[in-house]
Amino acid sequence: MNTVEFVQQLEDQVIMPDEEGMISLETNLDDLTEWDSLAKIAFLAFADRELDSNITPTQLENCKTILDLYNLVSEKNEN
Amino acid sequence: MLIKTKNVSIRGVYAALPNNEIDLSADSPHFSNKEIKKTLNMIGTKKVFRATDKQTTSDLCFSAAEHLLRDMGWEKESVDAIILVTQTPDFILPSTSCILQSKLGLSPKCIAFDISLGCSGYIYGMYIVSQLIQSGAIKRALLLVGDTISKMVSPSDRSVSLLFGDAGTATAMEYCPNAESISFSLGTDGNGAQHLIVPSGGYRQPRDDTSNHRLLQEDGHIRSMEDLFMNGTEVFNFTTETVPVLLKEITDYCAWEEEDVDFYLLHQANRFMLDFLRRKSGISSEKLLINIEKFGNTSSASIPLLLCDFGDVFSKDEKRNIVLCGFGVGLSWGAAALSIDNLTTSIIYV
Repeated sequence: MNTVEFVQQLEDQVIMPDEEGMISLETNLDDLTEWDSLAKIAFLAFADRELDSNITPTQLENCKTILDLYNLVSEKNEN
Repeated sequence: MLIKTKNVSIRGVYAALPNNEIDLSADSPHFSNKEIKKTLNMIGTKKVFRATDKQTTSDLCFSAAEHLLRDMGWEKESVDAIILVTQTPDFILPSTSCILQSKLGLSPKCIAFDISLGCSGYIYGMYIVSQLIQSGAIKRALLLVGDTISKMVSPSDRSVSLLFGDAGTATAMEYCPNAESISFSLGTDGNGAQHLIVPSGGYRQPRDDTSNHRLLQEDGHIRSMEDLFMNGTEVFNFTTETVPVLLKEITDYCAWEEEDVDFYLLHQANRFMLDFLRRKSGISSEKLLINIEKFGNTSSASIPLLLCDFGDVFSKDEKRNIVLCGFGVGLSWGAAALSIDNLTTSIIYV
């Protein structure tokens, strides 16, 4: 999954903002009101379902931006 | 731990719900409509039943037990054991089961004790009662399981206040020489104890002048030290790692293939989790029973409440192979595999 697809799917399946196109790779997670505990669970499930990638909650807490999320699942996939 | 018990039959299961229905989308003043809609869509709850201020878990379990005894035609003197599984007892001491022994008019020869477990509690209770019955000392037992988690939830904490409902249940278990064995798989990981916890109110962290002050916490939710805290991502992680393995373990132990299992009854944690576990474990949607939309997450009571809610299926004179699975606070988990038929069930509102 490339970065464009990742951002699109993240919007559709995890963040679900009011308007499309609100997030980019540079978006700071702390600035997103939608990035709450439910969204974090949705991300863990998304990573497992779509990318076959098991993320731990600690790894997730270390992510600051959408790019960090992408790098996290990409690293997992490479390993 | 894997173990089988013999000579135990489950005769009836009754559930009692508080007669106080809450429509979550209409009766949640602490959150915006958007927050409510998004949350309810994901966790799958629509309404819950909440105990009133004066109504306790034991009141709910008492009503369930009294109706069950009456409808089964069990003489009160014939009950040898009453075991209550709850994390919301009437008092710090004595055990609430002792109070219920008296209130139900059971014999002084009846043994009574409480077990403090939550979402895995029905399986643990069933295991312990099965062992007592198998030993020969106990012929008939009442397993009471329930919680009023709504009383320990901050109404401003969206991670829990739109999720939990209250319920009390009673299960009638009996010695039966012809009964098929019941298989159990049980386990614990106390390293995760802090992920589902009410920090204050015991003796490790006693209540004080500030412990009930509801403040904005690091995770963005407002609650006090006397309120329930749930670390959703850690609990999700634990569940996805534990439950699929547990389900495989219990069916392998019974030498059941997928087609041998008629129904899976999992603790109704939340809709999202149940869908995830279904996919992960390859369970077809017809076999996974779900009723979280009607009652919310009722903690220890969710599995017996599910049995009652689908009572039409289990009351028939047709044997059904079922897998029960509870997981959560502790962290603790348990699964049971058994065959069931002619089950007496009912849901009452009190």
